[in-house]
Amino acid sequence: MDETSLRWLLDSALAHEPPMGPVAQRSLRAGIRLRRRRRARNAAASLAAVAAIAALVPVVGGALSHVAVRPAAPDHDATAYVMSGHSAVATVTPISETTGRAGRPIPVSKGAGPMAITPDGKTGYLSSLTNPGWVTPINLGTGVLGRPIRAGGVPDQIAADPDGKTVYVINAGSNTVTPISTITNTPGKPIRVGLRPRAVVFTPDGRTAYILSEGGHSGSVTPIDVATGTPGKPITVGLSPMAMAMTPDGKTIYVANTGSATVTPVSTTANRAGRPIKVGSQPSAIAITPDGKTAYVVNTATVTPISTAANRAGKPIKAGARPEDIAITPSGKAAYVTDSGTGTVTPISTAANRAGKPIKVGKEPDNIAITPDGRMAYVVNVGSGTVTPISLATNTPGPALKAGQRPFDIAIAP
Amino acid sequence: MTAAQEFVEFATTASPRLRRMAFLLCGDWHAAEDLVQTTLAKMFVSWPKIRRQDAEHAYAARTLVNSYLADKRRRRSTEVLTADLPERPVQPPGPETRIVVLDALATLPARSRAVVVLRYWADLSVDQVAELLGCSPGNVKSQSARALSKLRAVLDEEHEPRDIWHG
Repeated sequence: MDETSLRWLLDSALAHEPPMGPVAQRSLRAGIRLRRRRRARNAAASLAAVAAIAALVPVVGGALSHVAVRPAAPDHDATAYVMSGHSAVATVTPISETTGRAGRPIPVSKGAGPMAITPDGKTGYLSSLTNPGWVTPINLGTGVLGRPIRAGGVPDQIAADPDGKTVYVINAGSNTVTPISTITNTPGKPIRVGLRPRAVVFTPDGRTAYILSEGGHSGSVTPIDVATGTPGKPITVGLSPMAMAMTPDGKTIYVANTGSATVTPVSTTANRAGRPIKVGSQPSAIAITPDGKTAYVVNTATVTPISTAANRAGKPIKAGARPEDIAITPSGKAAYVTDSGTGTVTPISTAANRAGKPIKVGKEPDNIAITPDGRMAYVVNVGSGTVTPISLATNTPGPALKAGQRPFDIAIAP
Repeated sequence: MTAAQEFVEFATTASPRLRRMAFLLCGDWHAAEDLVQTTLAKMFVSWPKIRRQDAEHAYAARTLVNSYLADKRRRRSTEVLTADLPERPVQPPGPETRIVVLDALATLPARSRAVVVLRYWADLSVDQVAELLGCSPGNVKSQSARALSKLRAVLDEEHEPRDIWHG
């Protein structure tokens, strides 16, 4: 066997090559995620030296990774929890809505990642990006940590069901979902779902969870019976979906198909996908107004409103240079879109579907969370490592809260 | 054109070839696609630097091979390595060349397999392979010689007529 015949033999091994998925687009999304994680880790490493000071001084320590808003009755002030993401300095820091200040950070030995908060606001379930597979329960009232729970692989999302009895850990690495009982704090059997699961939503009655999977070619939504942990038949949607949102009545899920520039409505009563709705390029975030009438989809440079009654897209709204995330106020009157291109947040009036004057925040703002009473929004500035509070009555940003150098994500409690 | 657009353009042009290279390394199309995605995602992180150096393709090949080798190292604890070919009880006479070649490649250690793919399929020179793998040209030569003699032994044995029903 000479070199020429070896070359020929190697080529013949490539016969029956299957068609390729949208690898380029998927790589871009994966690359963006990877970059954010690396930045957060690097910032955390450089901050390790000041960790001791951060524990004493009431500022948010370490590299911030997430903000979760603890649910509260609308007449009560809420608390936002900021997660910092390095194993040596990982902390969870409360920010009080009343004082606008950061409280004493809670150190977490297993590292930090996305956090789920039970609907009563008493317990947080913190996943870990540095120690994948570990979930730490935190008593948010006292700051006391529970025993870490071993559950799954690299978490992409973690969420509590509406009655707060189960927390679902979405493992993008192992294509499974691990339920954790919040009563016993023990993990259940992992449930197999579609390739690369990304997100979960629960129906308001808490009976069914829907898991969004990015898939190899087409994405899918898998219903899971929460009581038994049994997955149903996956519902095929568009290419490489990255985000979904459920209408408040729980009847429809809108899936943003990042790869095919469409949004697929999925009926939860029939468990069937409707006709895809054409939106802008690379839709990657989606939110629905509390009255369930409009879904807002964040595209590459615009936001597309979709009327849920007609399942029809309206005129795209210009929303900065590189819009990232969206949150809608509890009153449903305004949507807020972060723009990492210009370091601003664009308010959108939902009545007129028109963008207002951009609000200046820090560098590369990414995720945004709004308090349940609708008074404040918190924006994570990935580039400057801070959190900017915005008073929504006047759309005025407050002074940035110090929060490490490279935050990269935000989790909003149910 | 923005950096992200340039990256997507590069990724679109480069991914078919990268996927084929990845397949020859790991022998599974799904795993190959995952390897390509990992490679490109890593490249995106340092994209401005890679673009300045004007060496995207070399960088891609190096990242792909390193990701493959790292993956192999991680899996070593759970995978049982064997020099024997998997049994194929229902193998028809004159099996597809494709499967024979893949089985033969699977008998090589990860690094030798990378050397074979880079030298004889990607047509890189001994020096280029040495630079890519971070070893000496002499090491590449000895690795390819050993890999070739092993492949020869396995492939020639496969090509010899034998009694497939009785052993």
